[in-house]
Amino acid sequence: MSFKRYLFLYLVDKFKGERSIYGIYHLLKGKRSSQTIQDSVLYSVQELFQSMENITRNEIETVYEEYEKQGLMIKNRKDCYTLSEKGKQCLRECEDDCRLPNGLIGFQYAGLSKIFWKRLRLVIQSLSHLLHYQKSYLPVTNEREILEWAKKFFKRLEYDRFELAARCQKELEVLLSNRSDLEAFIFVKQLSGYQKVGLTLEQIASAVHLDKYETTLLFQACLQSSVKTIIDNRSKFPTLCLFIDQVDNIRLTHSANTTYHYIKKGYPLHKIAERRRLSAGTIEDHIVEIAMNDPAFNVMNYVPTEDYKKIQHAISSLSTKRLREVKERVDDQISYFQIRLVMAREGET
Amino acid sequence: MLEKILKDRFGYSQFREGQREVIEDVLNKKDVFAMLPTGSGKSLCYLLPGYMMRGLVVIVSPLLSLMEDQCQQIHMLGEKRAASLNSFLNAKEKAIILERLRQLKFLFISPEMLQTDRVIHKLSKCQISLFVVDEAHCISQWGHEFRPDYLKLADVRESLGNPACLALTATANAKVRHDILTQLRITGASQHIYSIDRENIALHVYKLNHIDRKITETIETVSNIKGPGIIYFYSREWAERLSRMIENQTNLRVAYYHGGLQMEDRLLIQHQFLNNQLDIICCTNAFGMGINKPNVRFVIHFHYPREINSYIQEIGRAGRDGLPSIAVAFYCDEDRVLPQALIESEYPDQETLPRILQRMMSRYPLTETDTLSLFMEEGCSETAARFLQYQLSQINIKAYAIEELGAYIERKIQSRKKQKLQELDDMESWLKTKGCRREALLKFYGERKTKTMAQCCDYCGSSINEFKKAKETDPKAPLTSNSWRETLRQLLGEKAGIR
Repeated sequence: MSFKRYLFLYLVDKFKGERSIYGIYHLLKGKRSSQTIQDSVLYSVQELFQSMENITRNEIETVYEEYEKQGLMIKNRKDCYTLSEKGKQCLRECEDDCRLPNGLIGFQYAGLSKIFWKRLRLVIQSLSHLLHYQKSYLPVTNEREILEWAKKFFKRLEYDRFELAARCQKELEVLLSNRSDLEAFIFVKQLSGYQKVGLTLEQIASAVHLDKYETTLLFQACLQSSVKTIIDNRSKFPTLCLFIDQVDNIRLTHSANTTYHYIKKGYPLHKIAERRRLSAGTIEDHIVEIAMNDPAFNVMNYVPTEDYKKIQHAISSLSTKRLREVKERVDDQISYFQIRLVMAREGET
Repeated sequence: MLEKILKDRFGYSQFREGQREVIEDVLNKKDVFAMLPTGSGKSLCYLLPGYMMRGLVVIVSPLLSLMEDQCQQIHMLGEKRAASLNSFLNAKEKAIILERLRQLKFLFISPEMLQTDRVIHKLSKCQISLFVVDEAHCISQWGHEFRPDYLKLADVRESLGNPACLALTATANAKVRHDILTQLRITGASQHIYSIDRENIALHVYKLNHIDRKITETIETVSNIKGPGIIYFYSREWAERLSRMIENQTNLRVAYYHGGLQMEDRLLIQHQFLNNQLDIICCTNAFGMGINKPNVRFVIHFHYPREINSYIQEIGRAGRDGLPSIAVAFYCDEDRVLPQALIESEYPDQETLPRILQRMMSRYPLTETDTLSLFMEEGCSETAARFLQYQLSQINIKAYAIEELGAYIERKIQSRKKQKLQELDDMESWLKTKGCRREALLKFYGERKTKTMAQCCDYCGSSINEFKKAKETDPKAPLTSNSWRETLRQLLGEKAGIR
């Protein structure tokens, strides 16, 4: 179980005692709030964003209660912990055997990958039954959106089921060959088909003798990097491409996306707030979210170059991610909002 | 005529006991109350008439999962004109279903959804051929507290123009039957009561001195008797724990199932079990309803349920193919603590109640939803909140002083708790039966045992050894044995199907 220990100590270490264990929970779960998305960048853990959607509060609480008891971490304020010397030592030892799988990308791909995966699972199941002339089966999902999508997908299809199956098989084989056999194994064994029901991640974990956290991350790494490969090489994966189409604005929360529309039309911040009957603070949250997600977005409209430099300087000299400490270091007229914007940008590099 | 439809639509060559009689009465537009044993094909009693009458069959169904399963099973029969309407749909999805009501043949609906004016309005414009209340014992078992909308079904039926009513259940004693008929206002219904007895299921109960003994006995039993089987537990933790132990100590393929699992994992585990990829499911009572697996050979109760009704339902998942099966219950004295605590926690305690009422009155009047959330903010369970909300809606609150109101509600709570504890007592007294277990079980439903059978119960000489596996089978090849490329080829490859 050393991977579990490695992962959760690593996260405490990354958050430097400045965020609570619920910050970690939201990160792994992939809460689409500005705060969580920002934190993931600020503390350089964005690759773990939404990497464990199934984790529960209770699970996180139990894990950290145990680590506190074992003296691996010290509470510095409510629900916030830093690693003790023993904890740091333990993390270093874990690092000899464990590391995060490569290929995890985080919020830019986690949401998209999730939809890709649901659609793929259903289409493969359906296809596998069709190959055996079975029209009815108990679908692997009961999410209406996914079921509707699959229905349309089969209707739009320009070739027959055999052709589709052959293409899917070929493309998946090429795609998964980019990853380790272990990752491909975890990916494929979850798929259901004719007279063959897929396994849960937990069942696979026990079959390959890894803990479920490591298995989950290996799967996410495989899935997210595969989706990226498809997007970057559309012509090589013409069929798998179809599973990604029509998923848009996956990277912004819905509300931030609306705000972005107004910004593009040239509305100033307070006008957007007025129009949308939201507080200025909420709109600021949206702008920070946009700044993090869209590299093309110009933050200089909100932070003059001079101030930007001052904030940048304060951040690097303090080597902290806590807003208040940065705020104390810079001129009074510089707002928290401006500091957050700079952090959002600086975090990326 | 009936046989032809039975054959053409459903692929059966003959009716099972009771089906024809119920169907004939339904076709004669009578109100019908039918109690047919678990696994006897109750749904056929409304599906078949649905094809012989004009209009829509409305089926009130207690659980979302059950509703989805039933709907899916109809789809699998090739009938696409079936839909389910429940609060888990979003507004747009609901609207779509409501707009195409006229094109539907079967509509599954939750009692809560039947409380919205829009739904009633839309339904009242359709011709409704039959109003079905499925698992009708839920009216009595749940209606009085957390599903009070069940108690309003008679009004709903009236506002739909009083279509003929069919109430179906597998487990209802005389008292519950009376309650159902009264609540639905169909006291003149034609009644078809069949025995709850499942003769192909042997009943075994064993008392053990210690929980550790129970664990070892359970593991030993499942290693020896013929599967597949289901083991029931009170809690998620226990289900997971035993599942792990069985996995480590035997070569059986086992998984756990409970309400804490993600929906996708739940479906996978269910499908694995149906597809004979698993030998054993360790589960809470979240598993079972609507699951139609004919060859379940045993049901073990590691923990016993809180009512005899649930017990009958749960063991009834065994032997649906009619072949010999066994139900085993293990118990020890300390088992009582948990169900008792569960019953207590369903209702607000004496300290919280006045405070809650005070707060509610200060914000009077409140909508139903607001009242519910207020109660839940105050720490009530959803069950307790629904119970309170319903009790308060039954009286003119304004006419009471707050103390009177408190006392009134407290009395309601006490009497309900008493009833629940009584049901628990019944369950426990049955476990302690000194005599034929089947006879004792039937007695709760006012029935007598009429036949002698070889495998009746442990008291009558049935032995677990009769249910032994034929011989030690080789461990089955796990699904993880072949490589990912092979698996992919099996799913989609050239060998699949014949062109």
